[in-house]
Amino acid sequence: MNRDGDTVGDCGHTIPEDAPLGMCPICLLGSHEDDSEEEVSPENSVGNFRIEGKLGEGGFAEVFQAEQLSPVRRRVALKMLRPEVATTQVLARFEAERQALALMVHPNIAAIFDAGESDSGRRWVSMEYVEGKPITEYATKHDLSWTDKLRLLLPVCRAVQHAHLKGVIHRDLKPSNILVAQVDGKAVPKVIDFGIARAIDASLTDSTLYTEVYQLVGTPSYMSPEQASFDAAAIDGRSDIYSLGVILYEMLCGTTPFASDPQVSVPVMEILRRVREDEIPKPSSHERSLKGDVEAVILKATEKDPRQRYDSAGALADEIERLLTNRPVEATVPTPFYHLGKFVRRHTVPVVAAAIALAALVIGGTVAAVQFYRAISLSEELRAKEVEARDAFRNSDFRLAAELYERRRIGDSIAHLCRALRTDPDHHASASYLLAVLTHSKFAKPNEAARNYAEGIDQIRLPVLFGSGDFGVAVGETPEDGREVLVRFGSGEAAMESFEAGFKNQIRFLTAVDLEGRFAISDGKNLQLRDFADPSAPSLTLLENTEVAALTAFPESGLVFAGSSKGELCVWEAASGNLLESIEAATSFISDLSVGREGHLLGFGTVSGGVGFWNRDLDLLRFKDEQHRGPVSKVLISKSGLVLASGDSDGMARIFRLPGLVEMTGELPHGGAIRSMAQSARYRTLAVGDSEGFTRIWDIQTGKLAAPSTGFQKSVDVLLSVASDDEFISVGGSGSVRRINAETGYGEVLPGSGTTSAVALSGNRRSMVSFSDRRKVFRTIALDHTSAFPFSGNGAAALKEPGEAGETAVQKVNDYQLIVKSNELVASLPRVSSKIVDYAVDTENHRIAMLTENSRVRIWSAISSEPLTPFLPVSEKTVKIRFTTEESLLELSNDKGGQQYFLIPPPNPVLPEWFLTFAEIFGGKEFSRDGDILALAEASLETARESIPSEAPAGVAIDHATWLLTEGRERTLIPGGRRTVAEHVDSLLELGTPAAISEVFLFDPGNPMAKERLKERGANLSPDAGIQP
Amino acid sequence: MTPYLGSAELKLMSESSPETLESGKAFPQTPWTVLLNVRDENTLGSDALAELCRIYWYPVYAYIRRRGKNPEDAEDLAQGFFEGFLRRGDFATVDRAKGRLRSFLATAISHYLSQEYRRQSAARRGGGRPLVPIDADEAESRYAEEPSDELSPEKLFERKWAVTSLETVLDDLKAEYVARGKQSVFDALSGFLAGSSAVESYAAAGELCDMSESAVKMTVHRMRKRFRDLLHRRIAATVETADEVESEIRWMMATFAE
Repeated sequence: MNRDGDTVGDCGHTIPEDAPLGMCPICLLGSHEDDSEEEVSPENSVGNFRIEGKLGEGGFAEVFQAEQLSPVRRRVALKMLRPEVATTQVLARFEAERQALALMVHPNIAAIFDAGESDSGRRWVSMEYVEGKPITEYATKHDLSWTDKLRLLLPVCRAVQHAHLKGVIHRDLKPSNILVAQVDGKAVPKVIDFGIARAIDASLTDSTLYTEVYQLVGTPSYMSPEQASFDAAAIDGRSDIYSLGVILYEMLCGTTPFASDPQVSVPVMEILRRVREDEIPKPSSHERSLKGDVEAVILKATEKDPRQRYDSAGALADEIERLLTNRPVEATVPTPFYHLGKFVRRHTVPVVAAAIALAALVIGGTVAAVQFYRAISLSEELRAKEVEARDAFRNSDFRLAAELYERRRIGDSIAHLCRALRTDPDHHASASYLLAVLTHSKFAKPNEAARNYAEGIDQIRLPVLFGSGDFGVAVGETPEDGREVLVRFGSGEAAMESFEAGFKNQIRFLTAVDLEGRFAISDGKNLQLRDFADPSAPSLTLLENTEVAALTAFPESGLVFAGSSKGELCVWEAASGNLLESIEAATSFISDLSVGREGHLLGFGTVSGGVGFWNRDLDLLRFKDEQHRGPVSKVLISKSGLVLASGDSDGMARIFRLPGLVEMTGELPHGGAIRSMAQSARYRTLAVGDSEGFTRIWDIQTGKLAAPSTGFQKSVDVLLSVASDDEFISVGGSGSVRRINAETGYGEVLPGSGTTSAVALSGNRRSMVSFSDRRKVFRTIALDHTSAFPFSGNGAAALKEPGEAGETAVQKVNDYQLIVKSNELVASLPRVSSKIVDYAVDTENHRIAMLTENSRVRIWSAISSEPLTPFLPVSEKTVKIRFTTEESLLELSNDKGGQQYFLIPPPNPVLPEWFLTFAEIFGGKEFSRDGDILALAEASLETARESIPSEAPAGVAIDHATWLLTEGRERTLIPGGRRTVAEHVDSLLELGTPAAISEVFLFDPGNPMAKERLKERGANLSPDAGIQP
Repeated sequence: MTPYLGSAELKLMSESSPETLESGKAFPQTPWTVLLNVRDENTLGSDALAELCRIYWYPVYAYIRRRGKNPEDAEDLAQGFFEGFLRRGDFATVDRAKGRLRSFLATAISHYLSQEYRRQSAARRGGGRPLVPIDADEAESRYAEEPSDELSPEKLFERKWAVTSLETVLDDLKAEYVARGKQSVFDALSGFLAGSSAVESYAAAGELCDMSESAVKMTVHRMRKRFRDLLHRRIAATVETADEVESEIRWMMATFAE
């Protein structure tokens, strides 16, 4: 390809004679380092399809361009349902759409091929991919005459007629849904996206819900007046005729009837009002030559009253043919009287809230709702409707927020809550929910700006952290000569410095041996201890010229463990470098090690598929060979030291009980080699990541999947369990970092994490450092920045007196439902899915608290029956809940009478606009003007802090913002409170009871004083002991 | 440290047709390291390995020729080497610490040649059909084109290894485009794979294949991405762990930079 005589590549090297295709091989190989931003596509293949790019998205689904690989190879449009909206209703709707589409076979309708479900459970439909331009654009680009435009629209009318005869209404006809493709040099229009098609025939789907949610969706400018009135009953095929009329209008006049200045964003509701009420401007007012028959046809098609329009799309087609052949048309220019009032009155059926809500969701991204409601004065009759629409819009955001929170998509949930509050600032439930989400969620958050790599350093790998995660070492590479170096990094001025590594072979292991800065390093042949202070100098050499097959350490006890290629295990004391013990544990290559029980227990796996453990206290070694068909790639000793999990390169994980090494459960199958494992002691779950990019959450007791698998990461190379034990952090080959709920498996990608190439977890498991080779930066991320802990405190708050009798009473109708009686009103709260164990009433503030069997607390409004918080996890030992005089504290009691206080939102909070911005920054997500949720690129604690106005008045908002921004010991126990965590911890230490000590661990898992106390007492207390007696 | 693949994945590499490569999701895994560990002659991996051997036949041939053998002997020796390698599991004799098929083959072939030399039994191998079919004439005519420079047999082997790897990837890439009826696109735009200064502007290239400049950019972007994927796959099949892919690529670059 190179030009004649040009034998030097981009890189400056001479292109060798044997270069393939004459291209510079160095440039060719270098192109793999191309810095182009790859979009993080959710799935790059689905079944037989390879996804190539996104074509578009709506409220419910995304449409991808994809290549079908078998049985025939072809380009398709793949419509995939958004996983977060996959409710029963929507699934039914999706199914209906598929069936509707399958009914139609017409050359001018994009065909449907197939439907199914992806590995990760997403429903998809594959459709004919039409490569073409929207019909209006095509007409303009090819400068078609008006007769050619009519000829182009004619087959479209016939296609719509075909669909109508099959009982399918399109409901969203617009230029972008009518694409003109070139087939054999001929322009062929194709109708695509019967995305909101509703079959007239009710038997099409069993679900009646389907028709409800289907009431109104569409695109305002092309929507018929009956659609714009939320009047489902009035919608039939003639709505499509109206839309065809508008398209014809636009093709001939160059604009839609109710188009506005594109610079001014007109709220959806206003466009809908114009569609319903305003007279269509005559086409001849745009284009004088249209006066006469053409105008008459357009106006007849776009009559406000469906009965005045053409009977069928076929009739419209016939009329167009008459225009083209100069025969007289049926249509006559109508009188200016549009029967509007009558029409509107006739159809003022009750508005179906869900319908409007969905309409708002689907089309409503552009609504600057608040402005709109203030700016436009409406007629009395419509005002009520608008309020209803506003409530529906708000409710849909509120509900979606709750659902997203359940899926632990916290950032998205916050964005929806903020939009709900912008629509309706007085919606206490949304405000309350938002505070609960903010105070009870973990936020992984960069807490300082990204720092640059040292000059000339690349390919950071094997990072380890010391202290509380503020400094560390890693292996790097100098790109110019590919030499390996050691780097040390910290938060100081010189963020990163490099040192000679001094190894002949590639460095294979690097692990911290204490928290002060000592680390063990090995190139597979030599094993040395070194120090952060001078990473290039070995302070002690543990092994020389011996094969090191696996290496690990237990920094808290200062122990280093290694496994050899011959199956020996060795343990050294890091401080002295003394070999404490060694043992011949197996006969083959040790492939992985895991330490448990304060360094007394060592689990190992071998390439021969064997697993075993070595208990140094009991001098007990147990090994079982060939437990796996393939080499063991990963082992993990549980925190309790009772369970050993192992995974192999065949994609099978197993769980063994110690000390018998008896398999506890069946095999845990994965689709690819096991790459990573982490455990949550709290939920008794094991997260396993594989080379295919799936993370599966397994129940350790039963060996069953505890949650749906999460995929999409290319390969899951790292899984970390954070301090609070309720979340895993996964890092994938695709570079994105996900937070995964340890119980549910739901999770979300950390905003801005798309290029992560390596991570290290701090010793206290509360922060990590992530590296991006592509951007050459690294940053510290706090893993559980917020989250309120329940705390003890005698008499911190008094119990609330029961209210006046008869004011508000709550009654349990059955195990799953409460009813609320107040002032002769009886309302029932929604049924819950776990048994109600206890409940409490706050008569003063009309709140109800509920405790369920799965140890969750939720607060409800006794007035609106809306939830005021999500289900929030509490200690398993909780049996009783009570409101207290401190409005934002709930008292939890265990069966032994021990108490804890649990943070809940204050009653009826009002949140100012700045707080919503603050919350969005905290969650890292916000809505764009188009209604898409965007990740905020620079969401950090710093930007959050800056969003607080200096003159913000005292109150709930500033209390919470301050609380959220304060970390660790400096934070007050509750927002706006006086007592700090430090003071609380000190008083607990003073108290010194086992219960108090274990509560200290909640706030500060690594607290040295608490550890000491624990040792003194010799008590067998785990840090996660929960409520104390 | 641990081979990170399973025997199930061996199948994947056993057919290196473009379709297979395309339908594979992430990373095909290395078939040969498993053989090293398992050392079971009946492993599924033989087929996959045979395929790899077919691809890397030429570097071995070139190496033997550079060691002074005539074309006929070189063909026989290469054939014999691969046959033994595949059939008898000769790999057991080689230091397994070298985790790459490349270094492994380099050591093994030199080992093999000295053994053959010692035996001096010029008895023609044969009796069976060639296990690794290759057009020896083609190989020889290729070899004839090699510059007779001062490269040692080892260096030549490495150089040919790198060239062959790249060619295979380019062939795979091209085959994908051909399969989609887009050979002209590949022909017009593949030059951009190695950067942009050596070829005309995107706009000029666009005129050649009737595409807009932005479409060309997009296509080139995809082509590069696909090339990278295929390259990674190809190399992953010859190394022991995923980590080594990058370093192998850098090694290849260094080979060419010499």
